[in-house]
Amino acid sequence: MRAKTRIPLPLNWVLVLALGFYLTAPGLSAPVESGFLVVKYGDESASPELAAEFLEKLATFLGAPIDRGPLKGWIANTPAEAARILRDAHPILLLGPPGLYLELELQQQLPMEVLVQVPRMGATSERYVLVAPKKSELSVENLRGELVRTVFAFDRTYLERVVFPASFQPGVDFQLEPSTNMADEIFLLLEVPEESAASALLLDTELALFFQQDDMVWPELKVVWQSEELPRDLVVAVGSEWTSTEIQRLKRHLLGMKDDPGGAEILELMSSDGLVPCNFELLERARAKYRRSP
Amino acid sequence: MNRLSLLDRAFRWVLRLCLASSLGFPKTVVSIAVILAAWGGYLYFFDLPILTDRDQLLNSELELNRLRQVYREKFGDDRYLVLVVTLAEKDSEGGLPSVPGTDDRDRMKQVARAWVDQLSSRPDLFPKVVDRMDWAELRSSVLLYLPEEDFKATTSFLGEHMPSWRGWLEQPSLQSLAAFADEVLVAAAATGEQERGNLEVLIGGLEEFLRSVNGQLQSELRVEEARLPGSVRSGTVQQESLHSVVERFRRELVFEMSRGRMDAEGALFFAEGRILTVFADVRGDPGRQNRYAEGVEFAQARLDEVMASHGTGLEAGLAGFPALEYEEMRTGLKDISRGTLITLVLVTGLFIWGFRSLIRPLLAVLCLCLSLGMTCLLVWILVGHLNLIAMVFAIIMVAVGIDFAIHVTTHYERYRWEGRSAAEAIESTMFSLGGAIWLGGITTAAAFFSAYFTEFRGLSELGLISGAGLLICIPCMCIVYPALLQLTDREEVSPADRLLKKGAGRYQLSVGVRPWKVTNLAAARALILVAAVLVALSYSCGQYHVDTNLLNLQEEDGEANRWQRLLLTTDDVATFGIAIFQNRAELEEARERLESSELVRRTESLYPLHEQMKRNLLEPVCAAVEQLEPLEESVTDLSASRRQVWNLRQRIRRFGSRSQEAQTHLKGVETELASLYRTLGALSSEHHGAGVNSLDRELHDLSAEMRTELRSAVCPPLLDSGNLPSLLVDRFLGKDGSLALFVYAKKNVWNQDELEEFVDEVRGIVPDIFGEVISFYENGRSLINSFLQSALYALLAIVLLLLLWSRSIRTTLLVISPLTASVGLLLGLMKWGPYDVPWNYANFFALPILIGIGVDSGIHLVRAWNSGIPLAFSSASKAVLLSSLTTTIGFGVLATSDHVGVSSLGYILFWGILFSLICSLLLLPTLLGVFARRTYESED
Repeated sequence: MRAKTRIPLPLNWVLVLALGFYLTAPGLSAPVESGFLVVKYGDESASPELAAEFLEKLATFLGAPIDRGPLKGWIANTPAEAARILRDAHPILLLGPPGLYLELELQQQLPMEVLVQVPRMGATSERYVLVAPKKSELSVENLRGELVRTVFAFDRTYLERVVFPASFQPGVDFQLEPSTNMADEIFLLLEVPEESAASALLLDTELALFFQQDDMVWPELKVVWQSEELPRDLVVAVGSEWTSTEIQRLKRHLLGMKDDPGGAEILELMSSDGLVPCNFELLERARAKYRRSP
Repeated sequence: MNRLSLLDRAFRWVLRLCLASSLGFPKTVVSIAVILAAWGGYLYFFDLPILTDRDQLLNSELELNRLRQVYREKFGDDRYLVLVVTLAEKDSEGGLPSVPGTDDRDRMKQVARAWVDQLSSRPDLFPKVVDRMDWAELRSSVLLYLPEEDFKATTSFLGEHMPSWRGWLEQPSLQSLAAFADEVLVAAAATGEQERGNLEVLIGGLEEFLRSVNGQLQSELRVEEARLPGSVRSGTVQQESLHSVVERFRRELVFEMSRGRMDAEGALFFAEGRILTVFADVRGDPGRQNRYAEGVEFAQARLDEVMASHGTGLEAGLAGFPALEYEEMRTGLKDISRGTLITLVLVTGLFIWGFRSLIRPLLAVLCLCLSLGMTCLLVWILVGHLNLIAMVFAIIMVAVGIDFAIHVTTHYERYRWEGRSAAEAIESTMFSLGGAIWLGGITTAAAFFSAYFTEFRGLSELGLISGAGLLICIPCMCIVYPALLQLTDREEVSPADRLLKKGAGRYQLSVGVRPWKVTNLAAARALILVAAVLVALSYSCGQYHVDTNLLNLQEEDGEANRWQRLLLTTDDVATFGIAIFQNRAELEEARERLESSELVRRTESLYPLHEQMKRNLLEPVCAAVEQLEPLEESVTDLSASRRQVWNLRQRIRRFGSRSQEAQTHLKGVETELASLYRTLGALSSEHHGAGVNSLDRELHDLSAEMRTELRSAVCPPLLDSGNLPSLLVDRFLGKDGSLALFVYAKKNVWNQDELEEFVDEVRGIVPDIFGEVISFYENGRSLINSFLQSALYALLAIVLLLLLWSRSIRTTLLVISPLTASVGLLLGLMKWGPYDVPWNYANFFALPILIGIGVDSGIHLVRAWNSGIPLAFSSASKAVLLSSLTTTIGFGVLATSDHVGVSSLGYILFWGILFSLICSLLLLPTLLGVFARRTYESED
């Protein structure tokens, strides 16, 4: 019969102390909260109050393939709010505009990997448009000095470096101001142009598609200018904690989102038919422009 | 037995008296018996009241029954007939009735209203019918009565958005209204899943409102139709006044916010509106066996009529205690009456078949009927009434009384077969058997009398009446039956004649089972050991569970049962505990503790729950409303209104783009807004005529009304009986100012364990709680205790009497051995047989019957064995066989009853008596052969 191996008393104490130290050490006593950040500039419904249910469902869906405990969801609709959450909460996943991704990439603070892109309302690429009333004389040529309004929060750097060509820059060739109510801006533009401060409106693809579907709006507008094809919103894994296995698993999970009942519900809330692989060609072009510009 | 015991000597003396009267004055004896029985029968049918009120059967000493009586004096009855109306359509999951829409709810209310109108024609039967809570009486305090969660959501909603609603409340106009709607929609969209219903109501209301506004403005436009652009809706617009639209919308919203509890018209909806209820106080007739029969039958007939005319797509039925009691009484009485009659017929038939004779068995049954009649007379003298439980005495007397007759007939026939005259045969029968009859009868009667000492009045009276009935039955069988035989049986028959006439087979049949010959003592001992082990196992693993769920006793397909179960699975509003308090402080303290209990679903009282906390939360909202500027007369600015409508429409479109479902819901609003936008565009300032002015006035009035209502809702006055709905006051405020608190259990109170848990918990907080639900518990426990107590007393009484008679422990044990073994086997069968049959309030009555028959059989067999005459044992065993078989088959019929309780009673009696028979004819002779060996002088 084998004799029982007894750990000497001092060693017991060392183990207990080590365990105590481990448990009480900063950052170890409580698990760090893992989460994701959804960014949608200028969308008033992208607020924690209005999007609570959406975030809850998304947390459940995203948490399923990865072993990080329950995920927490944050949402932001202004660049400032997005920056604050990125700084304070260190989300491990980002679902947001390519401009934010390119900026984070440029800062090179954390490793990132683009997983998929998010088409909305059937649009797999982004294209900004400038619209004006059909009856107005406005064109790109005579836009100089005019006021253009867009959503209440936007990424000015991305617009300047990637969206608009160097020859047609906001702040230089025309004034670009935010508006808290784009629908109201359209009303003023169409119905009481004399009261409207803006001459044209800048719409992203989603907003443009939204107004295109309104027979009281779109027939009254004309597109003055439209941008090149640009990348859509991206889903990006952020941080060094990701393993390649996890990345692949999550990517597969995201691409299969439309076939999952919970995922389909989320997609409906996002007005999307399903997530698709990233168009790296468009992203590369946008990256090049973003980095090249001062 | 060499020396006669004191009891035997007493029996002999009594028997001489019996013989002297029956043989000396047979006609007089029969005449007296018939007169007494006829008198008793008359009293039973025409004068003997039957207590059917369960409360009168309870132990009046119990504090809760006293409290309940006090409550009824102060507050009225707490047992209502409940009308339940639902949609016929069921949810795919759970099978509950579907949640009705507005139109469905209106139809449900129509059914309820029509039924109430019908009931009002009989105020004598339905003195009070409650079909609505007049929320108008409560309008100023309605928020306080919302469930806490909903109250908090509503208050926070009001508080947060009050600033943005100021425009509409201070300067009502189309544009401020559109801005107000915009705010409300944004806020409502931010709420969670649970408030989806509120949002839907809001959108529905907005759509109707817009349609009405649009209609008004288009009327204005039609004045100068030529100016209309082609896209503007033309033709007649179905126009409804804004006021009625808003009123309907407000009702819908309140209904939705209160999860279906607060219908604007006060209709009593529950379970998200799935169930509409009406409560009717129905008067019972204490003189009738089924006291609620007239009321419930009337209510059901009227309901059938109403459903035939208004009930398409709906279902309705009656629940509540009166309906349950009516249904139980109807099926129970029907089954018991049928069972008694069939038992009597079968017993008589078997009797006739067993003896191959018509006259003697019929005379015996007649004698039994006479003893029943005389028992009724005795009941009238001693007790003055019968009760629901004591009515079972008839079955007991038929079951046990017929045994006496069978024993007497068996012996009489034997003596007659031996060639003795009727008088000689009667004399021989009485001297050989009379003692056993008296002993068996007195022992069984003593067993029944022992129930008299239990605390449950119903059972106590049953014991008294059944014991007395048996004591009447014995002299009937020892005096009246012999007198009848003496009068009718005058034929002189010799054994030889009989053998020649009927053949030897008749003789064989009439002798029955011969005394057991134990030739192999070891085998007999082994048999006894096996039987002992089997019985011990049955006792240790037998059925001791008591199912106290009264619903499980009812007819399974019973209507009241079905509706009561529906209430139970959704929101049981018919079963609750009641506590009375002298002042509000005491009530609130207890209520606070009860509400925090895991076992309490909710409490109800005159006052809203957590009133002070709610008032504190309302204070800032109230202050904001108080600070509103005086209402201004304002004029709709067409351009500004158009802009606001445009923005609202775009908002709606944004919400609609979220999902297909949202788009479907919002399509109507969007269409109305687009139409209104165009109408407003077509109206120019020079058209700003009567129509717009009228709209402005209406909007002004609406805003004023909304201000008043808002102020009244968020600044509720102090509550007192003067400003509370009369329904609440009637229900919760006593005549002396005391306050009632209703406590609803979270778990199923029809389950004894869960009920016990609930009662223990609430009693820890309010020791004096009472009510129907507590009565279930206490009276159920009291009834079970009483049965156990009476069984114990019965056993003691039997043992004492047997000891007194036999002066031998061994004989006593031998007599009770068939009873002991059969009860053990029955317990085992109930648990491990093909059906798991628990004890319940109905089948408990099998116990005294089993005890009576088991002991009686034991006494006859042991006494016959001890007589040393083989033919005596044969006769006794034949009598036991016949009496047990008749009773077994008779009660077996009860097992086919619709009423589950009666059916289980039949099942238990069938098997119990069968086991008793087997043990009497197989086990007892073996035991006698081993432990009381006897050598018969002549076995032939």
